[in-house]
Amino acid sequence: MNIIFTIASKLLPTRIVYAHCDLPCGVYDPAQARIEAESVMKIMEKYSGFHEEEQKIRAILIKEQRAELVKHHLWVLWTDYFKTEHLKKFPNLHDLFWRATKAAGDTKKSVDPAVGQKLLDLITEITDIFDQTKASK
Amino acid sequence: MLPTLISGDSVLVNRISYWFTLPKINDIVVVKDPRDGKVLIKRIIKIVEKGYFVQGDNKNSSTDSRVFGMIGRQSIIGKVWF
Repeated sequence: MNIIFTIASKLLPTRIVYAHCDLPCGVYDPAQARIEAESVMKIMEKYSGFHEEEQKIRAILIKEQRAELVKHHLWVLWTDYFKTEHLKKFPNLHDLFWRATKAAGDTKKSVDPAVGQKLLDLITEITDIFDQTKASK
Repeated sequence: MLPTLISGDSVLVNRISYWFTLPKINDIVVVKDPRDGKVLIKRIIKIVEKGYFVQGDNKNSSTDSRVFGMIGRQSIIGKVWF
């Protein structure tokens, strides 16, 4: 077979085609979003104990970055992992991701741990659905 | 297209096959992504009036008709022979 391909590739035009996978490894896990959200939460809890201006600025900067990472990881799950068949089984999926990414955005504007907890709760809901989709395979 | 094809595999594509016959379910085909024209390799899963539903064999990771919808006959470039 290899000889046929070698000859064919010399005689015929060749080009690269793509299987167009999201990730070659196919590895998805809401844990990525959760870890970043937990960082956001920890910063919120510790923020009131910070007294130096530099410490506060750094905490806010890191919280901003981590919240953005939460959004990124949620979007990857939402747009790449979850498929139409999942939506049929869990019709609240779009709304849940909408609320979770909104909540991630809200954590940028606040240092109130209650806001961070709301984000974590929504990620827990997403994780529950994710686990069910994995279990049904 | 795992496990049927792995990255780096070579395939021979018959570009005139569908001049004489219609695409069939289970055919592995080279198609154009209707969104950006990128050339993809997929399997025909369903044929309806509106077009062809194509899907990758690696269902958990494939971006295919479940994302970009049915494709038209004109988007099928050819049939993978082997």
